[in-house]
Amino acid sequence: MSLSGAVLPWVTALAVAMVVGGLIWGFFFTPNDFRQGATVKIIYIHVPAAIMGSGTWFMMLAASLVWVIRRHHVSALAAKAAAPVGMVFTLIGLFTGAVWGQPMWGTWWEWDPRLTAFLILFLFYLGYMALWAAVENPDTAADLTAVLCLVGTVFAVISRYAILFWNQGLHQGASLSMDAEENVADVFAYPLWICIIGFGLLFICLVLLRTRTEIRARRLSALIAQERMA
Amino acid sequence: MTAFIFPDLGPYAVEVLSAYAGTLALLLILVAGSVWQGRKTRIRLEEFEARRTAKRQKSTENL
Repeated sequence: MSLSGAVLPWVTALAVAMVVGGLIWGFFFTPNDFRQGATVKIIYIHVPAAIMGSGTWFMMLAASLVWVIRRHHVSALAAKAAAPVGMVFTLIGLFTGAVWGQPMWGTWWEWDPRLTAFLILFLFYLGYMALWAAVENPDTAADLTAVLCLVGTVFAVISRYAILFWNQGLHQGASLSMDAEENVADVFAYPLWICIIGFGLLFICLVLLRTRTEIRARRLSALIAQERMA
Repeated sequence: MTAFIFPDLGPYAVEVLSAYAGTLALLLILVAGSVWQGRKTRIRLEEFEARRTAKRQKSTENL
């Protein structure tokens, strides 16, 4: 708790600076795309949010595995704390994708493998949070949600990597890759990278904050139970 | 001094601005909710611990 308390203000300041800086750079100081026009500016929120949406699930998977193998309570609480953050990032990805898709594809939604997997991932986030809320015993809740997390990982993987092995659908290929021919132009890539790092730091900051809250809430309920038994 | 120029969003102004507004609103709700929940839990724990300490001190004095 003391380490996270010391780190939190610095991560928060860096996250705010990078998100605000990246978005201002992307929105105000980059040109419109020759084909997509001004809608290209949505890339600075859509791509980082989508990356964090599926990335959060992988973090939850790692934390859940630590819980299952080592029974480390903080890891279970960290997974629980991360779920609403991932859910919001996924929702932002879906929302901005629909708003971007409408003028470019002529439709708000398409049952494309990547989009569908991402929608299912969003539903898994809701199910995961509902399961935590529904089970009274925290250890049982952590066990059950760890299993759910393992199952949901399939959709997190598909939503991120579907374009590599599923050659259909409207969604374009990776915006940022090691292959120079696939990449977006540098003028868009630089602010995009800043936004991605900023969203990543925002995720770390929110998960730290929420995990600290979960630890305190767990301590409080333990103290209340102790007092009742005394 | 150069004047501040708002970017020309052309026919996609509604889409771009609504995407940014929706995102900022969702992020704001998430951050505010996390901070509020964190503060509420911290205060409840501190109050409980203070009450518990006071109770213990009182029972020690009675001994």
